[in-house]
Amino acid sequence: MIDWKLQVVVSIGMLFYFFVLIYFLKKKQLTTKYALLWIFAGVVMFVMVLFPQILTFFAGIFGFDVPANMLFAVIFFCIFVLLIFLTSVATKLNDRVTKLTQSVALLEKRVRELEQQTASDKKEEETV
Amino acid sequence: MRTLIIIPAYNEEGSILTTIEDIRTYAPDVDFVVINDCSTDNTKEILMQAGANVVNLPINLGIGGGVQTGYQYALENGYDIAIQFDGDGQHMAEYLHDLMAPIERGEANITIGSRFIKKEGFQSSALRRFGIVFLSGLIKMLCGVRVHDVTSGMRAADRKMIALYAENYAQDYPEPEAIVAANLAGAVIEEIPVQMRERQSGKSSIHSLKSIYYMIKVSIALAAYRITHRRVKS
Repeated sequence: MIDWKLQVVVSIGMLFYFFVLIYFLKKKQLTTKYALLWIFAGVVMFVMVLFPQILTFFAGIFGFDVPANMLFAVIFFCIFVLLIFLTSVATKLNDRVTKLTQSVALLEKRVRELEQQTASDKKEEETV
Repeated sequence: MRTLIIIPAYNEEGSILTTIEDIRTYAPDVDFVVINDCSTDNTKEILMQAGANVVNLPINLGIGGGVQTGYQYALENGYDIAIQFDGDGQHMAEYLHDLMAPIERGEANITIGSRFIKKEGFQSSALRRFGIVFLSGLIKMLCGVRVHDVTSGMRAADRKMIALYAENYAQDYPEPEAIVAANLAGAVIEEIPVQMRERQSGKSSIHSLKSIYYMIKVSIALAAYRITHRRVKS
């Protein structure tokens, strides 16, 4: 049903995918937490490539005309869920940056007033 | 040698003062700093009132970020040895000097207080112990070092490791990953038999229900770490 040439091409693509993943992990541009997500996705995709019968089987059960349609549907669904997750991560990060900024600003005020206090204390000592 | 005890604390209003008392009893000559990880209870107020040496994090970072802050503090202030000591009362201060001794003698770069060498004191739940044995085997396989109590938060580090951890410290599963990181950096790791107490108050940040999930995640994280990091040739 699925052309073996296609399987080979996609397998090479998957290997490239894993190399990119390891590269990002090495460069610390991906925390292990999120890397796990991508590793899991990669493993699932690799299994699909090696055993396309799985896809055909489930596509038949759910009533898809063509197995490819189910593949695309699943991928799109996953992407949407992932995007929602990412926007929530962005929100959380934004909140933390806000708190940090506020903390820094209030600290700046305290330091500035301390400096002014020390400076005026010194001036008083000199004039005495 | 100047030593610093790093006490990470998140919502430990029930035990933080007794922990400090414990340290003052058995190691009165040693400096300490409490890293208050943006506690939402009265931990901060209690510490301020006691006049303890505290660093208050403006946002919650978790155990990894908190302990790493302690290492940065140790580095900035030129300490020779830094010891991690839990703020929940599980660790026993009487073993502090045992922990420091091998580093002071120059025999080790890292010492870990291990519950499972003499198998005395609180031994943790069976499920946890199984997980720890599994992780110990995994670490042995990944980098060749055998550590029995891989999740023990009671450990000491020398200057070289302080600098390493201050720069890079695992944020999610610090205890096992820090062992791998140290080993790859060429550290000599020694385990010291200690006893620990059962958690007296507050809640552990690792619930028993999540233990299995934790175990899987840690294993993958450790493998990923090993694959993506090179061993430093000394």
